[in-house]
Amino acid sequence: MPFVNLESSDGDLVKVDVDVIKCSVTINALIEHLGLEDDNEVVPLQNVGTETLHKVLAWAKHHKDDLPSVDDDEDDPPRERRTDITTWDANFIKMEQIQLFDLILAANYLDISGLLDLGCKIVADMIKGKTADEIRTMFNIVNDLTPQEQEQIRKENEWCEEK
Amino acid sequence: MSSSPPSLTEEEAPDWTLDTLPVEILLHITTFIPAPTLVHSLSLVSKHFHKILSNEKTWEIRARKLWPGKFPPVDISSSVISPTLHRSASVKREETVHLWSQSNNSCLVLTPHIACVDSVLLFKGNCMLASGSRDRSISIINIDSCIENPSSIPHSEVTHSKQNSHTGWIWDLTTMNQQETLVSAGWDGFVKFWDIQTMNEIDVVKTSSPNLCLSSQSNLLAIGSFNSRIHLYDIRSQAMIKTYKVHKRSVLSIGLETDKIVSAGEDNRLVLHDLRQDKTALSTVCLPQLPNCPKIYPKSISYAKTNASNTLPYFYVGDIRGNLYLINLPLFKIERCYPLIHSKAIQGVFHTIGSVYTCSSDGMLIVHEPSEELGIVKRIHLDKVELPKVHCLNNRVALAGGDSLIRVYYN
Repeated sequence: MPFVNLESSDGDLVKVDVDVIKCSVTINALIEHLGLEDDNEVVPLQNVGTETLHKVLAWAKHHKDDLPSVDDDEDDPPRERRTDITTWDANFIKMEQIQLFDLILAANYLDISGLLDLGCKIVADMIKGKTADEIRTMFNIVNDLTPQEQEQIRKENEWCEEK
Repeated sequence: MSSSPPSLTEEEAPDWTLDTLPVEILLHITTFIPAPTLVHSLSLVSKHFHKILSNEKTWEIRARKLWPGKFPPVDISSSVISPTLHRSASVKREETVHLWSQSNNSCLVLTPHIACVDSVLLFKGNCMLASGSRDRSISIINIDSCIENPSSIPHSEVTHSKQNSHTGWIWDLTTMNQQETLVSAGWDGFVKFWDIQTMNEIDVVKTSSPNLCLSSQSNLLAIGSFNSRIHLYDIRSQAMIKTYKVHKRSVLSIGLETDKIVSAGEDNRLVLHDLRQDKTALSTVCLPQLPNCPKIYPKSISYAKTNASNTLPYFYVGDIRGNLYLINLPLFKIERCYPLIHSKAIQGVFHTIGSVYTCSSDGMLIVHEPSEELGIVKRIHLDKVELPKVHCLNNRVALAGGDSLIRVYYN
Protein backbone atom coordinates (compact mmCIF):
# COMPACT_ATOMS: atom_id res chain seq x y z
CA MET A 1 0.00 0.00 0.00
CA PRO A 2 1.50 3.37 -0.95
CA PHE A 3 2.52 5.78 1.77
CA VAL A 4 3.47 9.41 1.87
CA ASN A 5 5.75 11.12 4.39
CA LEU A 6 4.34 14.35 5.81
CA GLU A 7 6.46 16.75 7.79
CA SER A 8 4.71 18.97 10.29
CA SER A 9 5.73 22.55 10.93
CA ASP A 10 7.31 21.29 14.16
CA GLY A 11 9.68 19.19 12.04
CA ASP A 12 8.14 15.82 12.89
CA LEU A 13 7.79 13.19 10.15
CA VAL A 14 4.57 11.22 9.89
CA LYS A 15 4.14 8.30 7.49
CA VAL A 16 0.60 8.25 6.14
CA ASP A 17 -1.36 5.78 4.05
CA VAL A 18 -2.23 7.57 0.78
CA ASP A 19 -5.69 6.07 0.99
CA VAL A 20 -6.27 7.90 4.27
CA ILE A 21 -5.06 11.32 3.14
CA LYS A 22 -6.77 11.21 -0.27
CA CYS A 23 -9.50 13.42 1.24
CA SER A 24 -6.99 16.28 1.08
CA VAL A 25 -7.20 17.94 -2.31
CA THR A 26 -3.85 19.65 -1.62
CA ILE A 27 -1.93 16.41 -0.87
CA ASN A 28 -3.65 14.59 -3.73
CA ALA A 29 -2.53 17.28 -6.15
CA LEU A 30 1.03 17.09 -4.82
CA ILE A 31 1.13 13.31 -5.21
CA GLU A 32 -0.30 13.58 -8.71
CA HIS A 33 1.94 16.36 -9.94
CA LEU A 34 5.14 15.43 -8.19
CA GLY A 35 4.80 11.65 -8.58
CA LEU A 36 6.01 10.81 -5.08
CA GLU A 37 7.24 7.34 -5.85
CA ASP A 38 10.33 7.46 -3.73
CA ASP A 39 9.46 6.43 -0.18
CA ASN A 40 12.00 8.90 1.11
CA GLU A 41 10.20 11.91 -0.39
CA VAL A 42 8.81 14.23 2.25
CA VAL A 43 5.92 16.67 1.88
CA PRO A 44 6.51 19.65 4.15
CA LEU A 45 3.36 21.12 5.70
CA GLN A 46 4.50 24.52 6.84
CA ASN A 47 1.15 25.50 8.30
CA VAL A 48 0.25 22.34 10.23
CA GLY A 49 1.72 21.49 13.63
CA THR A 50 2.29 17.89 14.77
CA GLU A 51 -0.63 17.80 17.19
CA THR A 52 -3.01 19.22 14.60
CA LEU A 53 -1.68 16.88 11.92
CA HIS A 54 -2.42 13.86 14.12
CA LYS A 55 -5.92 15.20 14.68
CA VAL A 56 -6.42 15.64 10.93
CA LEU A 57 -5.20 12.11 10.28
CA ALA A 58 -7.47 10.65 12.96
CA TRP A 59 -10.43 12.31 11.29
CA ALA A 60 -9.29 11.27 7.81
CA LYS A 61 -8.82 7.66 8.93
CA HIS A 62 -12.32 7.47 10.37
CA HIS A 63 -13.83 8.98 7.24
CA LYS A 64 -11.69 7.28 4.59
CA ASP A 65 -14.52 5.05 3.38
CA ASP A 66 -17.12 7.83 3.30
CA LEU A 67 -18.94 8.20 0.03
CA PRO A 68 -18.53 11.55 -1.65
CA SER A 69 -21.27 13.87 -0.47
CA VAL A 70 -24.17 14.10 -2.87
CA ASP A 71 -26.23 17.20 -3.25
CA ASP A 72 -29.82 16.98 -2.13
CA ASP A 73 -32.28 15.83 -4.71
CA GLU A 74 -33.40 18.89 -6.61
CA ASP A 75 -37.02 17.89 -6.19
CA ASP A 76 -36.71 18.16 -2.44
CA PRO A 77 -38.00 21.40 -1.02
CA PRO A 78 -35.24 23.72 0.14
CA ARG A 79 -34.40 23.10 3.74
CA GLU A 80 -32.55 25.11 6.25
CA ARG A 81 -28.80 24.67 6.01
CA ARG A 82 -27.87 21.28 7.42
CA THR A 83 -25.79 21.55 10.54
CA ASP A 84 -26.21 18.05 11.90
CA ILE A 85 -23.06 16.38 13.21
CA THR A 86 -22.52 12.65 13.80
CA THR A 87 -21.77 11.40 17.31
CA TRP A 88 -18.25 10.34 16.33
CA ASP A 89 -17.53 13.78 14.87
CA ALA A 90 -19.04 15.49 17.91
CA ASN A 91 -16.74 13.55 20.25
CA PHE A 92 -13.77 14.05 17.95
CA ILE A 93 -14.20 17.82 17.81
CA LYS A 94 -14.34 18.31 21.60
CA MET A 95 -11.25 20.44 22.08
CA GLU A 96 -10.01 23.83 23.17
CA GLN A 97 -10.76 26.80 20.93
CA ILE A 98 -7.09 27.25 19.99
CA GLN A 99 -6.88 23.65 18.80
CA LEU A 100 -10.21 24.00 17.00
CA PHE A 101 -9.04 27.04 15.04
CA ASP A 102 -5.73 25.31 14.25
CA LEU A 103 -7.70 22.34 12.95
CA ILE A 104 -9.95 24.57 10.82
CA LEU A 105 -6.92 26.32 9.33
CA ALA A 106 -5.26 22.97 8.65
CA ALA A 107 -8.42 21.67 6.97
CA ASN A 108 -8.51 24.81 4.86
CA TYR A 109 -4.83 24.54 3.93
CA LEU A 110 -5.07 20.84 3.13
CA ASP A 111 -8.42 21.44 1.40
CA ILE A 112 -10.43 18.79 3.27
CA SER A 113 -13.98 20.06 2.85
CA GLY A 114 -15.62 17.59 5.26
CA LEU A 115 -13.31 18.55 8.11
CA LEU A 116 -13.49 22.26 7.29
CA ASP A 117 -17.30 22.07 7.36
CA LEU A 118 -17.23 20.21 10.67
CA GLY A 119 -14.96 22.81 12.32
CA CYS A 120 -16.95 25.72 10.91
CA LYS A 121 -20.26 24.15 12.01
CA ILE A 122 -18.91 23.85 15.56
CA VAL A 123 -17.86 27.51 15.60
CA ALA A 124 -21.24 28.47 14.08
CA ASP A 125 -23.02 26.50 16.83
CA MET A 126 -21.06 28.51 19.41
CA ILE A 127 -22.39 31.73 17.83
CA LYS A 128 -25.99 30.78 17.00
CA GLY A 129 -28.68 32.30 19.16
CA LYS A 130 -26.20 34.39 21.16
CA THR A 131 -26.13 38.13 21.77
CA ALA A 132 -23.11 40.23 20.79
CA ASP A 133 -22.06 40.30 24.48
CA GLU A 134 -22.21 36.54 24.78
CA ILE A 135 -20.20 36.08 21.58
CA ARG A 136 -17.49 38.46 22.87
CA THR A 137 -17.26 36.51 26.13
CA MET A 138 -17.23 33.16 24.35
CA PHE A 139 -14.34 34.11 22.05
CA ASN A 140 -12.61 36.65 24.28
CA ILE A 141 -13.07 39.50 21.84
CA VAL A 142 -12.56 43.13 22.86
CA ASN A 143 -15.47 45.43 22.06
CA ASP A 144 -13.98 48.35 20.16
CA LEU A 145 -17.37 49.82 19.19
CA THR A 146 -18.56 52.86 21.12
CA PRO A 147 -22.18 52.82 22.39
CA GLN A 148 -22.94 55.43 19.70
CA GLU A 149 -21.52 53.19 16.99
CA GLN A 150 -23.54 50.24 18.28
CA GLU A 151 -26.67 52.36 18.22
CA GLN A 152 -25.84 53.39 14.65
CA ILE A 153 -25.47 49.74 13.59
CA ARG A 154 -28.81 48.89 15.18
CA LYS A 155 -30.40 51.72 13.23
CA GLU A 156 -28.78 50.50 10.00
CA ASN A 157 -30.46 47.16 10.60
CA GLU A 158 -33.94 48.57 10.99
CA TRP A 159 -34.77 47.66 7.40
CA CYS A 160 -35.28 44.10 8.65
CA GLU A 161 -38.72 44.98 9.96
CA GLU A 162 -41.42 46.31 7.66
CA LYS A 163 -43.80 48.85 9.06
CA MET B 1 11.49 18.02 -1.39
CA SER B 2 13.23 16.57 1.64
CA SER B 3 14.59 19.89 2.86
CA SER B 4 12.98 21.02 6.09
CA PRO B 5 10.90 24.19 6.09
CA PRO B 6 11.86 26.82 8.64
CA SER B 7 9.91 25.71 11.67
CA LEU B 8 8.01 28.16 13.84
CA THR B 9 8.81 28.16 17.51
CA GLU B 10 6.09 28.19 20.15
CA GLU B 11 6.47 31.95 20.56
CA GLU B 12 6.22 32.67 16.85
CA ALA B 13 3.16 30.58 16.16
CA PRO B 14 0.11 32.83 16.21
CA ASP B 15 -2.82 31.77 18.36
CA TRP B 16 -5.79 31.98 16.04
CA THR B 17 -8.97 33.43 17.41
CA LEU B 18 -12.34 34.12 15.85
CA ASP B 19 -11.42 37.70 15.03
CA THR B 20 -8.03 36.85 13.49
CA LEU B 21 -9.23 34.02 11.27
CA PRO B 22 -8.72 34.60 7.55
CA VAL B 23 -11.80 36.22 6.04
CA GLU B 24 -12.50 33.31 3.67
CA ILE B 25 -12.83 30.97 6.67
CA LEU B 26 -15.01 33.43 8.54
CA LEU B 27 -17.20 33.64 5.42
CA HIS B 28 -17.50 29.86 5.40
CA ILE B 29 -18.51 29.90 9.06
CA THR B 30 -21.21 32.47 8.30
CA THR B 31 -22.88 30.03 5.89
CA PHE B 32 -23.77 27.88 8.92
CA ILE B 33 -25.19 30.78 10.93
CA PRO B 34 -28.71 32.13 10.27
CA ALA B 35 -28.63 35.56 8.62
CA PRO B 36 -30.63 37.26 11.43
CA THR B 37 -27.96 36.23 13.98
CA LEU B 38 -25.25 37.65 11.72
CA VAL B 39 -27.10 40.94 11.35
CA HIS B 40 -28.35 41.40 14.90
CA SER B 41 -25.54 39.82 16.95
CA LEU B 42 -22.26 39.17 15.16
CA SER B 43 -22.18 42.55 13.39
CA LEU B 44 -22.33 44.23 16.84
CA VAL B 45 -19.42 42.27 18.31
CA SER B 46 -16.59 44.51 17.04
CA LYS B 47 -15.55 46.83 14.24
CA HIS B 48 -13.91 43.92 12.44
CA PHE B 49 -17.14 41.90 12.23
CA HIS B 50 -19.23 44.94 11.43
CA LYS B 51 -16.94 45.81 8.55
CA ILE B 52 -17.19 42.32 7.09
CA LEU B 53 -20.94 41.99 7.61
CA SER B 54 -21.83 45.42 6.27
CA ASN B 55 -20.04 44.60 3.04
CA GLU B 56 -22.59 43.61 0.40
CA LYS B 57 -19.98 41.38 -1.28
CA THR B 58 -19.86 39.19 1.85
CA TRP B 59 -23.58 38.60 1.53
CA GLU B 60 -23.45 38.01 -2.18
CA ILE B 61 -20.76 35.33 -1.79
CA ARG B 62 -22.64 33.75 1.10
CA ALA B 63 -25.92 33.77 -0.87
CA ARG B 64 -24.29 32.11 -3.88
CA LYS B 65 -22.95 29.31 -1.68
CA LEU B 66 -26.32 28.72 -0.03
CA TRP B 67 -28.69 29.43 -2.93
CA PRO B 68 -27.23 28.72 -6.35
CA GLY B 69 -30.36 29.90 -8.25
CA LYS B 70 -30.43 33.25 -10.06
CA PHE B 71 -31.32 36.09 -7.72
CA PRO B 72 -32.58 38.68 -8.38
CA PRO B 73 -34.56 36.81 -11.04
CA VAL B 74 -34.19 39.61 -13.59
CA ASP B 75 -31.04 41.46 -14.59
CA ILE B 76 -30.74 44.68 -12.68
CA SER B 77 -28.40 47.48 -13.66
CA SER B 78 -25.94 48.08 -10.84
CA SER B 79 -27.10 51.70 -10.53
CA VAL B 80 -30.49 50.67 -9.19
CA ILE B 81 -29.36 47.79 -6.97
CA SER B 82 -30.13 48.54 -3.35
CA PRO B 83 -26.92 48.64 -1.29
CA THR B 84 -28.42 46.02 1.00
CA LEU B 85 -30.09 43.81 -1.62
CA HIS B 86 -28.28 40.55 -0.84
CA ARG B 87 -28.19 41.18 2.90
CA SER B 88 -31.92 41.86 3.17
CA ALA B 89 -32.75 39.08 0.70
CA SER B 90 -30.71 36.60 2.78
CA VAL B 91 -32.46 37.56 6.00
CA LYS B 92 -35.94 37.44 4.48
CA ARG B 93 -35.31 34.26 2.57
CA GLU B 94 -33.97 32.41 5.57
CA GLU B 95 -36.88 33.64 7.66
CA THR B 96 -39.23 32.21 5.02
CA VAL B 97 -37.50 28.82 4.90
CA HIS B 98 -37.41 28.73 8.69
CA LEU B 99 -41.14 29.51 8.95
CA TRP B 100 -42.05 26.72 6.56
CA SER B 101 -39.57 24.11 7.73
CA GLN B 102 -41.18 21.16 9.40
CA SER B 103 -42.79 21.89 12.74
CA ASN B 104 -41.51 25.45 12.90
CA ASN B 105 -44.81 27.17 12.32
CA SER B 106 -48.15 27.39 14.01
CA CYS B 107 -51.46 28.15 12.37
CA LEU B 108 -54.04 30.41 13.93
CA VAL B 109 -57.53 29.83 12.53
CA LEU B 110 -59.81 32.87 12.79
CA THR B 111 -63.55 32.90 12.27
CA PRO B 112 -64.75 36.50 12.12
CA HIS B 113 -66.86 35.89 9.00
CA ILE B 114 -69.68 33.62 7.88
CA ALA B 115 -68.95 33.71 4.14
CA CYS B 116 -66.02 33.56 1.74
CA VAL B 117 -63.22 35.95 2.73
CA ASP B 118 -61.93 37.79 -0.35
CA SER B 119 -59.43 40.12 1.26
CA VAL B 120 -56.84 39.90 4.04
CA LEU B 121 -54.31 42.54 5.00
CA LEU B 122 -51.65 42.49 7.71
CA PHE B 123 -50.52 45.86 8.99
CA LYS B 124 -48.81 47.65 11.92
CA GLY B 125 -45.69 45.52 11.72
CA ASN B 126 -47.79 42.39 11.45
CA CYS B 127 -49.71 42.50 14.69
CA MET B 128 -53.00 43.60 13.11
CA LEU B 129 -55.11 41.89 10.47
CA ALA B 130 -57.99 43.37 8.49
CA SER B 131 -60.34 41.18 6.47
CA GLY B 132 -63.29 41.73 4.16
CA SER B 133 -65.89 39.14 3.22
CA ARG B 134 -68.86 38.31 1.06
CA ASP B 135 -70.93 38.51 4.28
CA ARG B 136 -70.45 42.30 3.83
CA SER B 137 -68.55 42.67 7.08
CA ILE B 138 -65.06 43.94 7.79
CA SER B 139 -63.11 42.77 10.80
CA ILE B 140 -59.93 43.97 12.46
CA ILE B 141 -58.13 41.49 14.66
CA ASN B 142 -55.17 41.92 16.98
CA ILE B 143 -53.08 38.91 15.97
CA ASP B 144 -50.53 39.35 18.76
CA SER B 145 -53.30 39.12 21.38
CA CYS B 146 -54.77 36.04 19.70
CA ILE B 147 -51.39 34.32 19.71
CA GLU B 148 -50.66 35.25 23.32
CA ASN B 149 -54.07 34.19 24.52
CA PRO B 150 -55.78 31.74 22.14
CA SER B 151 -58.77 31.36 24.46
CA SER B 152 -59.64 35.03 23.78
CA ILE B 153 -60.72 34.13 20.25
CA PRO B 154 -63.33 35.07 19.11
CA HIS B 155 -64.13 37.49 21.93
CA SER B 156 -64.63 41.13 21.20
CA GLU B 157 -61.43 42.36 22.87
CA VAL B 158 -59.33 40.97 20.05
CA THR B 159 -61.84 41.30 17.22
CA HIS B 160 -63.43 44.45 15.95
CA SER B 161 -66.10 43.65 13.38
CA LYS B 162 -68.19 46.00 11.33
CA GLN B 163 -71.29 44.27 10.04
CA ASN B 164 -72.99 45.55 6.88
CA SER B 165 -70.07 47.83 6.12
CA HIS B 166 -71.10 47.57 2.47
CA THR B 167 -74.27 46.36 0.80
CA GLY B 168 -72.28 44.13 -1.53
CA TRP B 169 -69.31 41.79 -1.32
CA ILE B 170 -66.09 43.37 -0.09
CA TRP B 171 -63.41 42.74 -2.67
CA ASP B 172 -60.32 44.51 -1.44
CA LEU B 173 -58.77 46.44 1.45
CA THR B 174 -55.83 48.78 1.92
CA THR B 175 -54.56 51.16 4.60
CA MET B 176 -53.74 54.87 4.32
CA ASN B 177 -52.88 57.79 6.58
CA GLN B 178 -49.97 56.02 8.36
CA GLN B 179 -52.13 52.91 8.73
CA GLU B 180 -54.74 54.79 10.77
CA THR B 181 -57.33 54.56 8.01
CA LEU B 182 -58.65 51.36 6.47
CA VAL B 183 -60.10 51.58 2.96
CA SER B 184 -62.55 49.04 1.56
CA ALA B 185 -63.82 48.44 -1.97
CA GLY B 186 -67.31 47.00 -2.37
CA TRP B 187 -69.44 45.50 -5.10
CA ASP B 188 -72.01 48.14 -4.05
CA GLY B 189 -69.99 50.79 -5.90
CA PHE B 190 -68.67 52.44 -2.77
CA VAL B 191 -65.17 52.91 -1.51
CA LYS B 192 -65.28 53.53 2.24
CA PHE B 193 -62.71 54.96 4.64
CA TRP B 194 -62.70 53.72 8.24
CA ASP B 195 -60.98 54.91 11.37
CA ILE B 196 -59.00 51.85 12.41
CA GLN B 197 -59.36 52.52 16.14
CA THR B 198 -63.13 52.95 16.20
CA MET B 199 -64.21 51.50 12.84
CA ASN B 200 -66.28 54.63 12.33
CA GLU B 201 -66.86 55.56 8.71
CA ILE B 202 -64.89 58.75 8.04
CA ASP B 203 -65.34 59.17 4.30
CA VAL B 204 -67.12 57.50 1.42
CA VAL B 205 -66.75 57.70 -2.34
CA LYS B 206 -69.26 56.45 -4.88
CA THR B 207 -67.98 55.29 -8.22
CA SER B 208 -69.99 54.46 -11.30
CA SER B 209 -69.76 50.69 -10.92
CA PRO B 210 -68.72 47.91 -8.52
CA ASN B 211 -65.14 48.23 -7.24
CA LEU B 212 -62.86 45.22 -7.35
CA CYS B 213 -59.36 46.25 -6.32
CA LEU B 214 -57.41 48.92 -4.46
CA SER B 215 -53.85 50.09 -4.05
CA SER B 216 -52.56 53.08 -2.10
CA GLN B 217 -49.40 55.06 -1.66
CA SER B 218 -49.08 58.06 0.67
CA ASN B 219 -52.12 60.24 -0.15
CA LEU B 220 -53.16 58.56 -3.37
CA LEU B 221 -55.61 55.71 -3.77
CA ALA B 222 -56.05 53.78 -7.03
CA ILE B 223 -59.38 51.99 -7.51
CA GLY B 224 -60.02 49.38 -10.19
CA SER B 225 -63.62 48.94 -11.26
CA PHE B 226 -65.89 46.37 -12.84
CA ASN B 227 -66.73 48.78 -15.67
CA SER B 228 -63.05 48.84 -16.72
CA ARG B 229 -62.26 52.25 -15.24
CA ILE B 230 -59.42 53.22 -12.96
CA HIS B 231 -60.02 56.04 -10.48
CA LEU B 232 -57.41 58.02 -8.59
CA TYR B 233 -58.50 59.55 -5.33
CA ASP B 234 -56.56 62.02 -3.17
CA ILE B 235 -57.37 61.71 0.54
CA ARG B 236 -55.98 65.17 1.39
CA SER B 237 -58.38 66.99 -0.90
CA GLN B 238 -60.95 64.20 -0.60
CA ALA B 239 -61.42 64.42 -4.34
CA MET B 240 -61.32 62.09 -7.29
CA ILE B 241 -58.44 63.57 -9.26
CA LYS B 242 -58.54 61.35 -12.30
CA THR B 243 -60.59 58.63 -13.94
CA TYR B 244 -59.26 56.82 -16.97
CA LYS B 245 -60.03 53.79 -19.06
CA VAL B 246 -57.25 51.59 -20.42
CA HIS B 247 -59.06 48.27 -20.28
CA LYS B 248 -62.00 46.96 -22.25
CA ARG B 249 -63.30 44.79 -19.42
CA SER B 250 -63.11 44.66 -15.59
CA VAL B 251 -59.98 45.74 -13.76
CA LEU B 252 -59.16 42.72 -11.58
CA SER B 253 -55.97 43.72 -9.82
CA ILE B 254 -54.10 46.98 -9.38
CA GLY B 255 -50.83 48.27 -7.94
CA LEU B 256 -49.78 51.87 -7.30
CA GLU B 257 -46.23 52.87 -6.50
CA THR B 258 -44.76 56.38 -6.63
CA ASP B 259 -45.76 57.53 -10.10
CA LYS B 260 -46.69 54.22 -11.63
CA ILE B 261 -49.88 52.22 -11.77
CA VAL B 262 -49.98 48.67 -13.06
CA SER B 263 -53.42 47.20 -13.70
CA ALA B 264 -54.57 43.79 -14.86
CA GLY B 265 -57.82 43.41 -16.77
CA GLU B 266 -60.19 40.70 -17.86
CA ASP B 267 -59.41 41.91 -21.39
CA ASN B 268 -56.04 40.11 -20.96
CA ARG B 269 -54.16 43.37 -20.82
CA LEU B 270 -51.53 44.26 -18.28
CA VAL B 271 -51.06 48.01 -18.41
CA LEU B 272 -48.36 50.25 -16.98
CA HIS B 273 -49.40 53.87 -16.68
CA ASP B 274 -46.98 56.61 -15.67
CA LEU B 275 -48.91 59.24 -13.72
CA ARG B 276 -46.46 62.00 -14.66
CA GLN B 277 -47.12 61.45 -18.34
CA ASP B 278 -50.30 61.91 -20.29
CA LYS B 279 -52.56 59.06 -21.19
CA THR B 280 -50.55 58.06 -24.22
CA ALA B 281 -47.60 57.06 -22.05
CA LEU B 282 -48.71 53.49 -21.61
CA SER B 283 -47.02 50.14 -21.89
CA THR B 284 -49.12 47.07 -22.43
CA VAL B 285 -48.44 43.36 -22.17
CA CYS B 286 -50.87 40.64 -23.19
CA LEU B 287 -50.54 37.13 -21.78
CA PRO B 288 -49.94 34.54 -24.51
CA GLN B 289 -53.00 32.56 -25.59
CA LEU B 290 -52.90 28.86 -26.42
CA PRO B 291 -54.70 27.60 -29.53
CA ASN B 292 -57.99 25.77 -28.90
CA CYS B 293 -57.81 26.55 -25.18
CA PRO B 294 -60.10 28.67 -23.05
CA LYS B 295 -59.16 32.33 -22.91
CA ILE B 296 -56.35 33.36 -20.59
CA TYR B 297 -56.32 36.60 -18.67
CA PRO B 298 -54.50 37.90 -15.57
CA LYS B 299 -56.27 37.46 -12.26
CA SER B 300 -53.78 38.77 -9.71
CA ILE B 301 -50.59 40.84 -9.64
CA SER B 302 -48.00 41.28 -6.91
CA TYR B 303 -46.91 44.76 -8.01
CA ALA B 304 -46.65 47.39 -5.26
CA LYS B 305 -47.93 45.12 -2.54
CA THR B 306 -44.65 45.07 -0.62
CA ASN B 307 -43.10 47.71 1.57
CA ALA B 308 -41.61 50.48 -0.56
CA SER B 309 -38.14 50.02 0.94
CA ASN B 310 -37.95 46.67 -0.77
CA THR B 311 -39.03 47.94 -4.18
CA LEU B 312 -37.80 45.50 -6.76
CA PRO B 313 -37.82 45.94 -10.52
CA TYR B 314 -40.00 42.91 -11.11
CA PHE B 315 -43.31 41.44 -10.06
CA TYR B 316 -45.47 38.42 -10.69
CA VAL B 317 -48.80 37.89 -12.43
CA GLY B 318 -51.11 34.92 -11.87
CA ASP B 319 -53.65 34.01 -14.54
CA ILE B 320 -57.07 32.44 -14.66
CA ARG B 321 -55.68 29.01 -15.70
CA GLY B 322 -52.98 28.63 -13.04
CA ASN B 323 -49.96 30.00 -14.92
CA LEU B 324 -47.59 32.42 -13.24
CA TYR B 325 -45.50 35.07 -15.04
CA LEU B 326 -42.42 37.02 -14.00
CA ILE B 327 -42.60 40.58 -15.33
CA ASN B 328 -39.53 42.74 -15.84
CA LEU B 329 -40.77 46.14 -14.71
CA PRO B 330 -38.29 48.52 -16.44
CA LEU B 331 -38.74 46.72 -19.76
CA PHE B 332 -42.38 45.91 -19.00
CA LYS B 333 -42.22 42.50 -20.60
CA ILE B 334 -42.76 38.90 -19.60
CA GLU B 335 -39.39 37.59 -18.46
CA ARG B 336 -40.50 34.05 -17.80
CA CYS B 337 -43.65 31.95 -17.66
CA TYR B 338 -44.13 29.22 -15.05
CA PRO B 339 -46.83 27.05 -16.62
CA LEU B 340 -49.62 25.50 -14.59
CA ILE B 341 -48.13 25.83 -11.14
CA HIS B 342 -51.76 25.66 -10.00
CA SER B 343 -54.58 23.67 -11.61
CA LYS B 344 -57.06 26.55 -11.33
CA ALA B 345 -56.99 30.36 -11.25
CA ILE B 346 -54.20 32.00 -9.27
CA GLN B 347 -56.37 34.29 -7.13
CA GLY B 348 -53.58 35.80 -5.10
CA VAL B 349 -49.89 36.38 -5.64
CA PHE B 350 -47.60 38.19 -3.26
CA HIS B 351 -43.84 38.60 -3.27
CA THR B 352 -41.30 39.91 -0.82
CA ILE B 353 -37.56 40.14 -1.30
CA GLY B 354 -37.30 36.66 0.23
CA SER B 355 -40.39 34.78 -0.95
CA VAL B 356 -43.17 34.44 -3.49
CA TYR B 357 -46.61 33.25 -2.37
CA THR B 358 -49.38 32.05 -4.68
CA CYS B 359 -52.87 30.88 -3.72
CA SER B 360 -55.52 29.46 -5.95
CA SER B 361 -59.07 28.20 -6.43
CA ASP B 362 -57.46 24.74 -6.46
CA GLY B 363 -57.07 24.96 -2.67
CA MET B 364 -53.29 25.28 -2.71
CA LEU B 365 -51.04 27.80 -1.07
CA ILE B 366 -47.54 27.54 -2.53
CA VAL B 367 -44.51 29.17 -0.98
CA HIS B 368 -41.74 29.72 -3.53
CA GLU B 369 -38.12 30.73 -3.36
CA PRO B 370 -37.48 34.17 -4.85
CA SER B 371 -34.84 33.00 -7.36
CA GLU B 372 -35.64 32.77 -11.06
CA GLU B 373 -36.12 29.01 -10.75
CA LEU B 374 -38.92 29.68 -8.25
CA GLY B 375 -38.16 26.51 -6.25
CA ILE B 376 -40.91 25.34 -3.96
CA VAL B 377 -40.41 25.84 -0.25
CA LYS B 378 -43.81 24.51 0.82
CA ARG B 379 -47.18 23.42 -0.55
CA ILE B 380 -50.25 23.55 1.63
CA HIS B 381 -53.37 21.89 0.32
CA LEU B 382 -56.76 22.68 1.81
CA ASP B 383 -59.27 20.28 0.35
CA LYS B 384 -62.15 21.90 -1.56
CA VAL B 385 -61.35 25.39 -0.26
CA GLU B 386 -60.94 28.32 -2.62
CA LEU B 387 -58.11 30.60 -1.57
CA PRO B 388 -58.82 34.16 -2.76
CA LYS B 389 -55.91 36.05 -1.26
CA VAL B 390 -52.61 35.77 0.59
CA HIS B 391 -50.66 38.49 2.37
CA CYS B 392 -47.31 38.31 4.13
CA LEU B 393 -45.67 40.85 6.42
CA ASN B 394 -42.55 40.30 8.50
CA ASN B 395 -42.78 36.57 8.02
CA ARG B 396 -46.36 36.23 9.20
CA VAL B 397 -48.72 34.96 6.50
CA ALA B 398 -52.48 35.57 6.30
CA LEU B 399 -54.54 33.38 3.98
CA ALA B 400 -58.15 34.19 3.06
CA GLY B 401 -60.43 31.18 2.71
CA GLY B 402 -63.53 30.47 0.68
CA ASP B 403 -64.66 28.42 3.71
CA SER B 404 -65.04 31.74 5.62
CA LEU B 405 -61.90 31.02 7.66
CA ILE B 406 -58.71 33.07 7.85
CA ARG B 407 -55.52 31.15 8.51
CA VAL B 408 -52.50 32.96 9.93
CA TYR B 409 -49.16 31.16 9.83
CA TYR B 410 -46.49 32.33 12.24
CA ASN B 411 -43.55 31.18 14.35
